[in-house]
Amino acid sequence: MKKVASIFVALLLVAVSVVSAFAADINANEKKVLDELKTSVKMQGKDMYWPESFVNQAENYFNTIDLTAEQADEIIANIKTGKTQLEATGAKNIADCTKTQKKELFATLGKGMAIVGGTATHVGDEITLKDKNGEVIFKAVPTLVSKDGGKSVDVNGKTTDGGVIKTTGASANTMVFVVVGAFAVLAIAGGVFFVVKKRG
Amino acid sequence: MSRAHKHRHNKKVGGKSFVILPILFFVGIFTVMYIAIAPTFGTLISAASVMFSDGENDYSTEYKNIFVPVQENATVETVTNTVGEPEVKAETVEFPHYGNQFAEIKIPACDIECPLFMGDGDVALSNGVGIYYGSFLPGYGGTTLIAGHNNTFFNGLKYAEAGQEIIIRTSYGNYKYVIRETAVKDSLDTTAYDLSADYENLILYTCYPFDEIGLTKDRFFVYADLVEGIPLEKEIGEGE
Repeated sequence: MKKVASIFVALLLVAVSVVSAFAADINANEKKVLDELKTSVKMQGKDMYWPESFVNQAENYFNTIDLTAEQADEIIANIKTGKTQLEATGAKNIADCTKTQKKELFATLGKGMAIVGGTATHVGDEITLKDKNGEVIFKAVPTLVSKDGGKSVDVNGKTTDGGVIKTTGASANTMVFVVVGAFAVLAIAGGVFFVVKKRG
Repeated sequence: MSRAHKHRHNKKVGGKSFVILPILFFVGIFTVMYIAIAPTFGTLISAASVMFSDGENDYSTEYKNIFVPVQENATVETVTNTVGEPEVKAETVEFPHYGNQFAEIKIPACDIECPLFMGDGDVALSNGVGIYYGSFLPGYGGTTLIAGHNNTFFNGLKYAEAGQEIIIRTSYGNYKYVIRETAVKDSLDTTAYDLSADYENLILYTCYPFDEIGLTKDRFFVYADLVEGIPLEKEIGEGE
């Protein structure tokens, strides 16, 4: 009887353990990283921050993984290194950094992504971050923003596809129509010209 | 006019003219419109902007769909938060990656019913509507900013009015919102949304005017408040 009971308990434990559990919510380690991302960096003596949209994207990414304490500590150390590098540039913002400075910052970013098995690449100033599965988790020209400029200041930064608000006035089909329409105008114009000249 | 003379005349205007003149005609028309009548012919200008855009677009229809609808009367696994209110147990939620379809959105009064994606890239907006990745999921307790094309999935927003219902069905629960207000704002107006909001609020938008194609300057925003739906658990886990 004891054997049957122990087998039953063992099976129950196995069943419980295989109930789907996802890498979900923000754990304490991830919270520490997010808090670090929200702190300021002094650029020419002025407090500058990562745009809220950038931090939110990090939070959404952290919701899909589980960061360990060790990884979080490494990432935080990496962020602090990046901040020290930024402050040492003497620039007003990332865009104003020299090529060498940007290269150093990018190297630091790459090390940070490697901690979670991800990668960082860039084309010009545009940075693309991919997770360990090769999926894009961030793509933008990085910038810092001031939070003391009132409502007129864009605290969200600009992403390569136009920032927070997207272009929602043309779908694939629309664009096809526009291009086909343009060729139609050309063809008609050419045809009319040909006919007129032939008759003349 | 003699036959030989006519032939010489055709030869004179033919050849390159058949190619060059139509091109000049086309470019000339667009230039005149741009300089002289831009305000009146915004549609043509914006259409031209799309044509000459150097952005690389991806109109692929391949994406991962993780949406498994929760039936109306079904219960989802919940936990009780510190103030005694139920929250959807985070461990049971498959948080969508960028580009995943994880839900669907329905606005009966506007005849809108379409897939909802995480992320508002080309693939998402070609196959449905998408949440800006810098905003949050429904039920997360923050701002959910959703974009859709005005000539496809969000064309029906032109019928949006205060008091109408918006239903978002996800794999972790169903959420009902009521439209508070609508507004037309500039696409660069950062006061149109608050990504740092610590309360649940839904914002939908599309290009305005509705029947205009291309790169319009204005957006039509729909603001809605949550009236029904269990919030997602946000209690900080222990970590590994």
